[in-house]
Amino acid sequence: MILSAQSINKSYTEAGDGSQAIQVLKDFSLEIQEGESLAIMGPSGCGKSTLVSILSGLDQPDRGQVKIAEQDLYQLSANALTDFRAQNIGVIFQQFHLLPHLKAIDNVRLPLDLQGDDRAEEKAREALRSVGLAERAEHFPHQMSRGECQRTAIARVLVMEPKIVFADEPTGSLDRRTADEVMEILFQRLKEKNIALVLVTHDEQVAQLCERRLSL
Amino acid sequence: MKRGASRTTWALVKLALADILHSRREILAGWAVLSLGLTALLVSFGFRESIQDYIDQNARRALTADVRVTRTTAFPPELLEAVENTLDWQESRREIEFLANIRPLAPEAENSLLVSVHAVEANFPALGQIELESSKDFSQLIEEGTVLVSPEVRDLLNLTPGDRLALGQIELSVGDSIRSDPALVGFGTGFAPRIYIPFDRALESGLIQFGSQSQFHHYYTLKNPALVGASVEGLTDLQRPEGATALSFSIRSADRALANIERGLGFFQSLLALLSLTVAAFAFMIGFYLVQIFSQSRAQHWAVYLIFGARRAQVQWLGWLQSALLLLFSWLSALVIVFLLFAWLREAGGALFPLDFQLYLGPQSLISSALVSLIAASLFYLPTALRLARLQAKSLLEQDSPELPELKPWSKIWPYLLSSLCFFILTTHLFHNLWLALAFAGILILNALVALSLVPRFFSWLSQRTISKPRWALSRLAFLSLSRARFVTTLCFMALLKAGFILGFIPHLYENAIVKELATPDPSQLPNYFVINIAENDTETLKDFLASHTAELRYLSPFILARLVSINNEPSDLDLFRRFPTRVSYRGELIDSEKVIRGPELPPVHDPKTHPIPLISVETQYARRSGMKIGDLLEFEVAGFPVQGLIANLRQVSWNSFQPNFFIQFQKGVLEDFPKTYIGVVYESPSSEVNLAYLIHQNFPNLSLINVSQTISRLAEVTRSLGPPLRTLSLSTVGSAFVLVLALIFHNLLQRRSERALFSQLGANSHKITHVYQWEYLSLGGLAGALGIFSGTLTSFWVGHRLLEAQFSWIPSAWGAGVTLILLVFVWLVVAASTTQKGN
Ligand SMILES: Nc1ncnc2c1ncn2[C@@H]1O[C@H](COP(=O)(O)OP(=O)(O)OP(=O)(O)O)[C@@H](O)[C@H]1O
Ligand SMILES: [Mg+2]
Repeated sequence: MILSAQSINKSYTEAGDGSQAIQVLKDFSLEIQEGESLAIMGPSGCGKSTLVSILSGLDQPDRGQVKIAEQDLYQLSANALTDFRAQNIGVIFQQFHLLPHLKAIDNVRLPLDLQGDDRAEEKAREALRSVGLAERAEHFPHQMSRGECQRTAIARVLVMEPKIVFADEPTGSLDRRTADEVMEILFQRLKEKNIALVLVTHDEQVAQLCERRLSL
Repeated sequence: MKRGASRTTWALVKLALADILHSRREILAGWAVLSLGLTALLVSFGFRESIQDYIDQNARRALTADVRVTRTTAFPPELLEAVENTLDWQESRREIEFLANIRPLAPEAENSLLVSVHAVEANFPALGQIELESSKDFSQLIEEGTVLVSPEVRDLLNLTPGDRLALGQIELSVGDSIRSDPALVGFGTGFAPRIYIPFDRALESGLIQFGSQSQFHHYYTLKNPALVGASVEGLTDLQRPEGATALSFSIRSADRALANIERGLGFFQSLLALLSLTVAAFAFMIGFYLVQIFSQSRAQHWAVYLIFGARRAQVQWLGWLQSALLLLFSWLSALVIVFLLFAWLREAGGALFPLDFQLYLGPQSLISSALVSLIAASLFYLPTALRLARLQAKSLLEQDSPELPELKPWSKIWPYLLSSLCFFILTTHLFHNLWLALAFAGILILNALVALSLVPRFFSWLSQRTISKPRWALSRLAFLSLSRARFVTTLCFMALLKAGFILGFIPHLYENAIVKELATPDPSQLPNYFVINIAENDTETLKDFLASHTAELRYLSPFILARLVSINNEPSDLDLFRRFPTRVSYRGELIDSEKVIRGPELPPVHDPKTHPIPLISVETQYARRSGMKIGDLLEFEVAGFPVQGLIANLRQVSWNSFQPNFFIQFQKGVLEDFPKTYIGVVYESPSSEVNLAYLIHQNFPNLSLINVSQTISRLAEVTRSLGPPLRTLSLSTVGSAFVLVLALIFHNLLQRRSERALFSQLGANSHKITHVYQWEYLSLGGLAGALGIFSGTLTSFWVGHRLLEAQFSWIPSAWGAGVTLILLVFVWLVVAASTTQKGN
């Protein structure tokens, strides 16, 4: 088992007074095996992104426990959690969130550079090649198509060799054809390396690529 | 995997650099503005350090000793013994100094020259060395009894070694001319060029009598020069032993030897500090603002770093690093600019500075400016740091791009307060004066209040007025935008206001106060010679002699040396009085160049029945400087006797009339019996063809003549040399303010791209949009410029009127307005050019 979440609770207090709390997640539990892929679907505002941020160690639940590779995330200190996430958890976004001032290769290197990895260049080139962007290494994000940008973002996650990847609507800003291309590459690469995937999507076709699905 | 800490650090530096290089256009404005601000500060720092070094290095040398004591008559042996017992001295030298005219004895020579005679022994000076043209030995030539002349004397009288000179009743042969003299550091020769003669011959010349202008100096070097302050204290106590008033003497010490230069350069330095702080204040405010804008757009980057394994402290460090890099680049550019500027000034500004003065960027300036940059970088980053501390990486999962979280009101404010405090400390440091710093801060705050309250109101009023006028639709959009008191608007307004103020103020100050004060008066009104040292029993013969040569002696005035002992029975503490004698006179009526401006005129003669204490008249500026007012009781000591005077009026003197004027003037009937000499002026008939100066010297060898027209041309030179630096300074400040505003406008236009896109979607063509912006900046600039010039003019009017009693002319304001107009046209064009640029 790579991920296990036990009775997660999360509510938000309204910005102003704090009296009105919105309960977003209530006693939510989930288990995911190594290399498994899970699609999370649900109407807008039902708490998908909130769930992803809690499972990936970005936001603390009010109650409950999240374990990844047997490590209880919220028992770790802030710095230890950062290190742990950098080594085990990858995140892909709808908006790609590539850094505009870095070339594709440097965007991909970023996680390795932050870890002080001395084989960053080599690993990043390999990751770019694996998403079919070997030629695009020296391009800046604004010089690439959206599909290429998302593939670069995928390479940036692959290069970290995580145990689990979270993707929040990764095809949300892509057209049908591009979305299919990008998803194909993502699923292939994750399968090869036996990396688990938690994928939030509104897209039925994309969800069908996953082994398991969950509706919130 | 183990974290390679140094490699990670290096990766962060590379990320910061890549970001800065990538957003060059955005950074450009900040870089230009901060370079300018730091340049201004560096100039000030460098100038100050150069002055300090110069004074530290030259002060002992300039005095040629650590301490010098002086009397107008020879020191009585018991006094000298007391002085020498007080000092822990190593070597001593003596000198007699007096003004006299010398006359070459060559048959064809018809010239004479007023010189400052220094009678010394062979072992002179105690510190440093006087070098001669022929590299002969100074002491040997003095021992041989020759006279050594300064180059000016040699050139003016066309002397060569072996020529003979008449000095009073003696004749001397010229030994050599002087190449370098330690006593001449500073602004050169001073009042009259020097000659050195053997000590004993001075006494034979007959020129040294009681009450004449001669000074007896004793020089001492101390065993420990650092103790000069304490030694002076000891001597000061000796100056005022109860009852023994006859022992008066004056003191000069190495630590204050260059006090005049220090004061002169200090004035320049204060002005420089004022202007550079003004530029720096705006540069830093704009820099601060630009760094905030920059940081806001970096929230996404930082969230990405956080998600991909950067610790929060590392991201903080990276954010700070970007701010620091910006300031580092600005600092480096400022260094280059100031380095070149100083190199140029050393070439071009020679006459401005004292001899040997070296203008350079010393280690202290480098360190202070680096420190300022470092602190500025940290303060600029501080608000961002507080917001970044609360930035959550999960915001990347949200629909909109992440933003830095807002802060609570107090957290928002205190970084600004801290920054203001730091700038205030810098201000105090540069001014060396808390009050000046407070005034400066007060004016800035006032400036900001005006900008914040007046600007939005004025423009919203304008937009109300134009609401029903379709022709004004575009300008109304501009007015509406200006009425929203944005940070940029406020800052632009403040900077332009200040620029206008400087444009209105400094040229006025120069034109009205300095030029007029030193202006050359009508030459036909001026005397030809100023005569000093007229012995009492020579006055009648001199009058007759001059009358027989169609010349006239006027304004003959007694001249008495007194020492101010107390004001209102309080011992006077001012160094001015303690160390030097005061020159006083008496006369029955005012002369042309004087006018009583406060209080009644003095009755001509002292009448003990109506006024038990004699009345005196004090020159106004002297009274202000020394804190005297009408009704104060002054006690003097004249030739060992106490004399009292009650200030009855304040008198304004037009010094450039070259009539004999005195700071302190008694009624008649008080000082007549004291030893004195006379001062007067000689008017020569325009048709006269005799060499009057030469004739006077032949007949009255003891008199000293000053050629008035020569002195005036010298004064005019000083005034002229003051003008260009003052004008350059004010112009470069205005230019800097303008660059600041341009950078801000440029950046602002860059920021408003989306607003422009919105306008054009609403159907405005790019021409119309440009017009709106032009109107906006133009009306803002026009208002600020007009207000600034107006207030600057008003202030200079006030300063000129109240403090300097100067006349006033409006012409410099017209100049200021003209310059502002040109600048506004320039802004108009710049806005047009940058809004119609492709890709915007
Ligand atoms: N920081 C927050 N403060 C208050 N409420 C929040 C906050 N973040 C999310 N919410 C609320 O929590 C609920 C769940 O939000 P979440 O973003 O997880 O939904 P989602 O399922 O991802 O929606 P979408 O499909 O639109 O992305 C929403 O009602 C949202 O308004
Ligand atoms: Mg969502």
